[in-house]
Amino acid sequence: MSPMHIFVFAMSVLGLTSVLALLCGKQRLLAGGVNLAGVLLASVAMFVLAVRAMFYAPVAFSFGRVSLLGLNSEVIFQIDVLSAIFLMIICVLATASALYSIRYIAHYHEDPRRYYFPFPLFIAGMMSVVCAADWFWFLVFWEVMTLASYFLVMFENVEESNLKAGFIYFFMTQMTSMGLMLGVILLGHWAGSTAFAAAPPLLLDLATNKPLGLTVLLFLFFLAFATKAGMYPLGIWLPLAHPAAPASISALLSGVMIKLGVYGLLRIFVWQLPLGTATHGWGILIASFGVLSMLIGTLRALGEHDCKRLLAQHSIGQMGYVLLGLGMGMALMQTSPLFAMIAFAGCLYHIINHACFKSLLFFNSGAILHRTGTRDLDSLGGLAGLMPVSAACGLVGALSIAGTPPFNGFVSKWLLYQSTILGDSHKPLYVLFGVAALFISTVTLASFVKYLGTSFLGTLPERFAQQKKGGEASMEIVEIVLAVLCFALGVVPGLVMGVLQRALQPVFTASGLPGVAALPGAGTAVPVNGVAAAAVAPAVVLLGLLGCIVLVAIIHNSVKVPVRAAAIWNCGELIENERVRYRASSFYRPFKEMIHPVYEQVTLPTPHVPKFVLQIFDVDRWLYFPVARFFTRVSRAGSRMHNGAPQLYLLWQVIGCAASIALVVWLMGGVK
Amino acid sequence: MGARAPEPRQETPAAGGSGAFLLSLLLSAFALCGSLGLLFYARGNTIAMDVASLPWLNVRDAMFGVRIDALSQLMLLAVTICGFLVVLYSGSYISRNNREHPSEHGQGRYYFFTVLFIASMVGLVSSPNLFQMFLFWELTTICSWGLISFYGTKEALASGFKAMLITYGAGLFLMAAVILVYVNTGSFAFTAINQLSPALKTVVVAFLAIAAFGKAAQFPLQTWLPSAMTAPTPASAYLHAAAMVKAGVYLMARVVISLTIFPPKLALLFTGLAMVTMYVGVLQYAVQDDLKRLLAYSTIANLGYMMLGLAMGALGSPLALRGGLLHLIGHAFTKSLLFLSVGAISYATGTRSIRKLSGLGKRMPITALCFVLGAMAISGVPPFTLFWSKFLIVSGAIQLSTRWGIALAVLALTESVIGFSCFLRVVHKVFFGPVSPAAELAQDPPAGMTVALVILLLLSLGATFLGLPLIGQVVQGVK
Repeated sequence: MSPMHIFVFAMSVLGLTSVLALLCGKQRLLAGGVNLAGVLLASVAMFVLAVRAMFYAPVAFSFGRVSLLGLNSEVIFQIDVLSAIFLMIICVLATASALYSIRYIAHYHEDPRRYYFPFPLFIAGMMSVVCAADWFWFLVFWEVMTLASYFLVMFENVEESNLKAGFIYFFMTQMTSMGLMLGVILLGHWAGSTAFAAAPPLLLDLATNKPLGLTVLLFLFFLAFATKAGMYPLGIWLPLAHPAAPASISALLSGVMIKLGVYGLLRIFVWQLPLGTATHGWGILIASFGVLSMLIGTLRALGEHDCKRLLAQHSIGQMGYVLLGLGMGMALMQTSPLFAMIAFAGCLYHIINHACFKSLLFFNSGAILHRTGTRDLDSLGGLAGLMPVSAACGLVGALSIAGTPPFNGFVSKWLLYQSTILGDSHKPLYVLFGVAALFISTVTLASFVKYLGTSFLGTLPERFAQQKKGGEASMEIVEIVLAVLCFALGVVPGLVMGVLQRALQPVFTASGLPGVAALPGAGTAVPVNGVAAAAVAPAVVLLGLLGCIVLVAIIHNSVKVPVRAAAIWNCGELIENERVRYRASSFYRPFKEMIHPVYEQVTLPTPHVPKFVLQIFDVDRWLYFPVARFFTRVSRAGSRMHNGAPQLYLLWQVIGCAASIALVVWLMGGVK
Repeated sequence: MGARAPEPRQETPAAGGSGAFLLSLLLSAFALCGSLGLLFYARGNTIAMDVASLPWLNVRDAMFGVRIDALSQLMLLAVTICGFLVVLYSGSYISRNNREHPSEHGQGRYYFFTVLFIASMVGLVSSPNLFQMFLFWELTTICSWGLISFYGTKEALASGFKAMLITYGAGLFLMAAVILVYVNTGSFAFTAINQLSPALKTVVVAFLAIAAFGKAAQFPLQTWLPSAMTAPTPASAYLHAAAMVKAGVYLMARVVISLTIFPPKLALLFTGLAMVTMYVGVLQYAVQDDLKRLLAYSTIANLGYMMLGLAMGALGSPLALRGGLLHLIGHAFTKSLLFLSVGAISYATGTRSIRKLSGLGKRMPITALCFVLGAMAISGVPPFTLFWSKFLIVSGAIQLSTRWGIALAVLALTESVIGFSCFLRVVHKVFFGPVSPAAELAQDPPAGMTVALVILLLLSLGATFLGLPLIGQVVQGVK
């Protein structure tokens, strides 16, 4: 089968799955099964394409122009290594989410068709977005994806907060999509075509002849993509929409969809914008906003005790890392290609990692919600006893997001630290970025200590005491697979770096792709002046960790401290255990008080149309009605003379006669 | 084609009513088959047939006849499809089960005007010249009066009178234009306008535009349209989507494609007015409580979009012309869908007040689906037709001139965003959230109404494929 056939096959399968979901009616499990089968089939097909593009040659195919539209755009698709990376993420997570959904969605009272109909369309939209090679069709698929995701976010639509979340999400993205639409139109107009291939020459031309045009164009693209990517302050929709959506969707939103914003930024700013002064400036801008998102998002997460909101705030923070990598790469591209490459690699690596651990964590919080019926960390505790698998997976996710070796988060963050701190030592700003990133890593860890500590550790609330141990197998499998991925991506960075370098090849055509040394045991090293200045060798780390574990076990076993279980001592008072727990809201209180401005929510004013504007437009009011009233008044005055008295009529006759005679005389030229 | 259904006086309303309904359904189905058959028969050719002339007028071509080109076919599709579906829908809507108007009284009158309306629209768009078009033009005015004041309340009568007055007043300019063209060229043909001197041509085009603006509810002649909401909802749907207002757009489109050189200053003026109209419409969205009035203002704004496309088409942008025409047909189906959904809501709940309704999605899932997707469609979200048309119109603006084009594009897109946010707010308020008391007992309407809704939903997706080939022919002809 040709790539085109595979693509058409995958899309048709997804379309058909949507329709079948409608036919399944309210049979939740059946609909879930059909959905899984369809999504799995399509994902496998697309995965094959992605592998082919990644390890052999880019895949391209075209459906030709739609001449009837009169636009110069072609329905063309191209899968290069960059697209393939995103495509693989989509395939894996879509399947994972579909599997997870079966049991998870079954506990909702809502009509399952409202979930399973848009789900495959959402996946299809995302897959098409990363494959499209024409900005017009990219926009179309982008919007289809947004539309489908909106309906998924609005699956539960009774609560006021969910309604608000859905509104802000769709409104923000739609508003910036309109900007994207304008950008695409301008690009198409100036370049004569909206194809990806037509963009680089145009952007080069604009940079020399129309710098303002270039800035406007890039700004429109930036706005749309940054909003989707959840960049602060444009990403205000993110902490609202994630808790509103079912966990299986939050995992896809946070794991995949917001990454597509970065995909868009990479395409336009790195793949298409020719290297020049614009690249550097935009790079600094993106990196600054990245650091801002990192700081605000993660610090805000410290103050959250709704587990999904907490994760959503972390998404903003983690996207900050990704944007930092992107921005640093752009900023360093001219002066130091090596560190630019490392920054880009860090950005892409973090995208992959974040997709794994954030979706894992969302699935994890979904498991908690599914089990306990609440997302409020304040009222939870001790769940490790009830759901040990989820607790272990949650731990892996938390360690990964906090950047602890040997998990995957460490490697990407390590690359980002390298690029910021070593990238250009003459620029204190870059170093500052690096320090901020380091600091935020600690805050992330602190936040996840809270997440794990208040949900899985501690004492189990009384109301759950009677429940039996263990969770839904299908949901746990998903968590385990992702946890394994988090680990695997952390221990073989050298292999991943190889793929990322291949992906970045087209960007470094001018300077040649700088090499990063591969270490034995799939580690990787950054050479400075020919010397391996910094290296990560997970094998060594693993060995060390293993040694520590053995040591701890030996000490633990040899000392044998007696452990005594006792009730909590409340200074002699009898207080229920429920009430004296150390709650999520109590964590880090002094610290939170210190940084309280971060938590202040800015409420945007609701715009109102001034009344006088409406009145000006209301032509009835100042034109038609007055004229009509005047007309009525005049005719009424006229009718008053019509009162039936003969004398009056005689008088009118006489006046009429006189007037006629006068007129005739005047017409004849007067009396001579 | 205008069939008169006898109005029952003494019979029981239900019996006579169903007869009127069946006859109208038959006639509108006949019209629909005719227009679909024509689509296959014509295959891109213009069908022309002369019928008769008036012996006392000296005219070169026949005065009465039929001339159907691609533009007419496009309109015919909108007119007959919407017409048929509206009649189908009315069969269930006008009933004693209707909570808003639980009466079957006056059905004969209703169907008479509706079918006559379809007939006069068909006549209007297949007219070979200005003269015959004028006759049908006035006929649509009368039909709209009959439908707007159908319920006979004081408000309905006043609204009907107002609509009649404004559109008739504007229609006088059409008559003046027809006379001017005839006196100066001896012909009633649309293309005869080209033979006029430039000054006179400007006057004639301006007159024609005033007439079109009156029907198409363009600023400053838009005020009849929101008050025309007193009509029965299916009739409003027809008035807004396919008939009355589209007659104005059709006239404008006809003028644009018939003229070899459109007076550029007028085209600029129309562009500006269209923009003003769009904002006149959209700024009213937020303050509306009546769902139908909201849709009425949305119609005004969308007519502004169409006129914008046509005016820019007149300025020389084929993309904008394409977009304007696509918007015409897309809007026909989408707006019918929205109106008929609102009709279903008022049928089931007895109210159209946004404030009183909440959580309808739980009670009326099909209607909710239709309205919610209709709201997305009207806001220009892909893959619905109005996305493509808005894209083309904005592209047309940029095609004309980069600087002014960007300003126009930004204004048009801002309008889209404002409209979108208002519709989204209404969707959230009315269909989501907890179920309000007014919505408690609601359920999806009977099959006749639901079928019409679902077909329209599919059409608001598929109008792109239906319309673009015809529009391609129209634009080809202009080049």
